[in-house]
Amino acid sequence: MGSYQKAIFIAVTFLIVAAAIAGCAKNDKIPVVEKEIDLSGYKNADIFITPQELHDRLGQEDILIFDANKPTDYPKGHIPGAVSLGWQSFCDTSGKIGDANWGVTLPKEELKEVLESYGIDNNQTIVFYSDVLNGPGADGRYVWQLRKADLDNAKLLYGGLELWKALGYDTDTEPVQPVPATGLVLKDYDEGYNATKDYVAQNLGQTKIIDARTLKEYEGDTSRGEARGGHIPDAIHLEWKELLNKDATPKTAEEIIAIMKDKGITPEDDFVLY
Amino acid sequence: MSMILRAVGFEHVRNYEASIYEWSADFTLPVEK
Repeated sequence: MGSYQKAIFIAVTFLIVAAAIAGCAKNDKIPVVEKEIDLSGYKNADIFITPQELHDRLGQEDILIFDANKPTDYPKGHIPGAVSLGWQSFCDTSGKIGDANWGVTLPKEELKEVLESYGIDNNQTIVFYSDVLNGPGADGRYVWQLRKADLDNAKLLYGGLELWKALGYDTDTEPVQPVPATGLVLKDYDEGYNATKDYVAQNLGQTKIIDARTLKEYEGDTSRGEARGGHIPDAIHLEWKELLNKDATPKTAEEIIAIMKDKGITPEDDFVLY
Repeated sequence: MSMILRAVGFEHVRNYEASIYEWSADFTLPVEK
């Protein structure tokens, strides 16, 4: 080996070692035990997608990902390929807070057009996520809006962006533009998902109601724009965070059933949540 | 929260979407503190 070849050999060896060290350093971010998340305790586990499954399917054409964080948080880091939706993209926000229909899901025909503009059709898996603990859950709201229109491929990312990052999966800062779709078919909304003002008023004293806001709001705080402070009569207080662990994952089915039982509600009950 | 409850098996949870904002703005309806 001449001195020139020797120099090349040393340089190449150095690069390989450097790459290996860099690779190890990167791997250090991934937890030692990266076990598959077991959702089998949830009766309707198909509502969730695990971060592992989403990671495996990144870049595939049969999956769409939507970021339900504030649009100002989206550029700080989002799941690769995710489109920013903000909080109320599928709602009527004409008029002002407190008006009839303000903040309510768009009528079916209008929702169809908005969903198509975001590239949604009947064949894809549609994933919504947020920083769960910054909620309460625009991501869950989107899943609810799509599932009541019979899009059962709408899913909530288990553990949200928090768990995604904790598992060491990458985020991206480049904005992603949706590619519009056509031909989406929605069904009439399943009214079993829904309670209107009239429904609640007519069933006062007969149906159980959960107020999922903070205790301060339940007790009269109006800083979110409520015209009057307080809660619907006889509503039971259960703050949304009570169903979550500190790492943003949902508590187990057994734990949630116990929490609900403590509030007087069983899985068979027909009840209202707000 | 309603989707987590549905995942657990509470399949008859109804989301009052217009929520307390609509309710509290209708002065014919009662609120409690």
